[in-house]
Amino acid sequence: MQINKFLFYTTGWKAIVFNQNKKGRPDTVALSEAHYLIDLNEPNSLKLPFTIPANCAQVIFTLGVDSIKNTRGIQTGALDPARGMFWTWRTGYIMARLQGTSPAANTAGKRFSYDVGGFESPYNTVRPITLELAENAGTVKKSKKILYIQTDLSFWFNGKNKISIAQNPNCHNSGKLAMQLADNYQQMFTIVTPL
Amino acid sequence: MKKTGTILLIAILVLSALGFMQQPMMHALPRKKTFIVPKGWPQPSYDFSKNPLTEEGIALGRQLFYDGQLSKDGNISCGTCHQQFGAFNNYDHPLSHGLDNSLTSRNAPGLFNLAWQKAFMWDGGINHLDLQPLAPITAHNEMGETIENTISKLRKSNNYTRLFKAAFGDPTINTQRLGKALSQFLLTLVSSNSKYDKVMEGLDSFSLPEKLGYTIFKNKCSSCHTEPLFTDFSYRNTGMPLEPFLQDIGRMSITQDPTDSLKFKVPSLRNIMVTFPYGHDGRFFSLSNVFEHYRINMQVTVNTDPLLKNKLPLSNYEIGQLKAFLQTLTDSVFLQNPQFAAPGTRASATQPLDLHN
Repeated sequence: MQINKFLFYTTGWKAIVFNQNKKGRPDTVALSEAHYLIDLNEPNSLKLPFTIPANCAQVIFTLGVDSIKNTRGIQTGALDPARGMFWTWRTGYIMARLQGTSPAANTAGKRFSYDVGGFESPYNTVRPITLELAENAGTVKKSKKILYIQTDLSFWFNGKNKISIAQNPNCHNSGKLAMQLADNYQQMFTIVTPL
Repeated sequence: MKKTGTILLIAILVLSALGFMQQPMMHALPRKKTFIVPKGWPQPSYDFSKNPLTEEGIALGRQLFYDGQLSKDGNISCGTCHQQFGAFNNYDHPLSHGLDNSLTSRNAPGLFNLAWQKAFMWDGGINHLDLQPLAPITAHNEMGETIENTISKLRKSNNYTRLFKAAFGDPTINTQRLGKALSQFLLTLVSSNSKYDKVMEGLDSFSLPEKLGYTIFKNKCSSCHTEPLFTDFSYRNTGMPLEPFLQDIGRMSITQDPTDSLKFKVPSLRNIMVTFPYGHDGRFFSLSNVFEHYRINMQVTVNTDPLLKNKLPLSNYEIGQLKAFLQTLTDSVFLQNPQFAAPGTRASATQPLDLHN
């Protein structure tokens, strides 16, 4: 299997911080409300422009684009439809894209292509992600540390649902398949021990 | 005293100089334009506060609407398939011609009263007017261009740099502004000057057949084709069987809900005499075909609209009167308004010969 494109939107980054002063009561620190388009082919997009605060126990973010941004006309910046992560024939952002080739794909050029989108119930593909910082809370003692998040693409196919490339080489609309893929890749992130 | 006098004089000089400087700056600001809601009509659903109408914005939108540069080969503009003499439908075309002799899969609808429309396309899949033009621009069988390329072509044009600056205050050209400018022009396409409107205002009166037709219309058609916009913007299955080549399932392709199978948006009946052929895929050549469909040819299924479970019985007499009434919905002021024609041209006063009805 070969991966040619892997992109996804994230937003709503928050840190859950165990504040030493208030016993055991975690604080939620908003890190960024902006939308970021992570594109494996663009190294600059892989680094997010904020830092993790000290005593951070959990990192929370949203995979996808807020429903509000899907209903208020044309956005700019990372959300500009010109970035190609937007369905023009029916309104909605492509929350995540995975494209490549696989011997299992019964298609021209053995290509598979998954554009996962849909923001309206019952096929809302926006997914919340919560990542525990390795082992115990407070692993990140100091702020301004870089946190490495790893994505395991095999979760797209072998997660909560089994997705067979032979049966479903394409996803280009909202619906059941998009929901299954979103449920799968919701599990793909892990935090690599901070350096 | 003398000193104060001098200061006062200088102050007056400076102020008057500022006054001279203010003049050209005032002109550089886009000139606001008020959107007029026709009497008795509901409030529009478009949020004008996010995209206030200006003379310059409308002019830019009009320029863009008629510019073939928005397509891949430079030949197809929005106006190619949305022609003023057809109330901005594709006159006499069931489907339209796109890039490289391709054919579209749906009938290009007339464009008017878009400020009241919440969702666009026959299936309602597009939820904002600003976004709507991106669909035909990028569709491979319409204008076949990428958004990125469209924007880069516009950025290379000195004329557009000037027009965008005039409309938005600075020369930035991006997708959002493209959509907003096109919306500004499209929002001005208000059709509210038909004979029907004049009768409602008490400025004209129906002939006998028109009057009889109006009564029949109110009994048999207006629950979906609701006045004054002549649509309730709902999606309905009117017993039109699946077209075997196009395989267009309508609203269901957006919602994935099987109960939405073969549901399409209720089209407005305004300007209906010039918007033939009819139906989402243009399958009805004439109004007579539409009436035959409703009274005889409908295929009633589980999804067919409850109002049409027994089809729509219509006598020949009723059809005759209805046709007379529907004629009163033609807005010839709208069809010939020079402000809607391609920049530098006049609206074509003569429509192509119409033998359909």
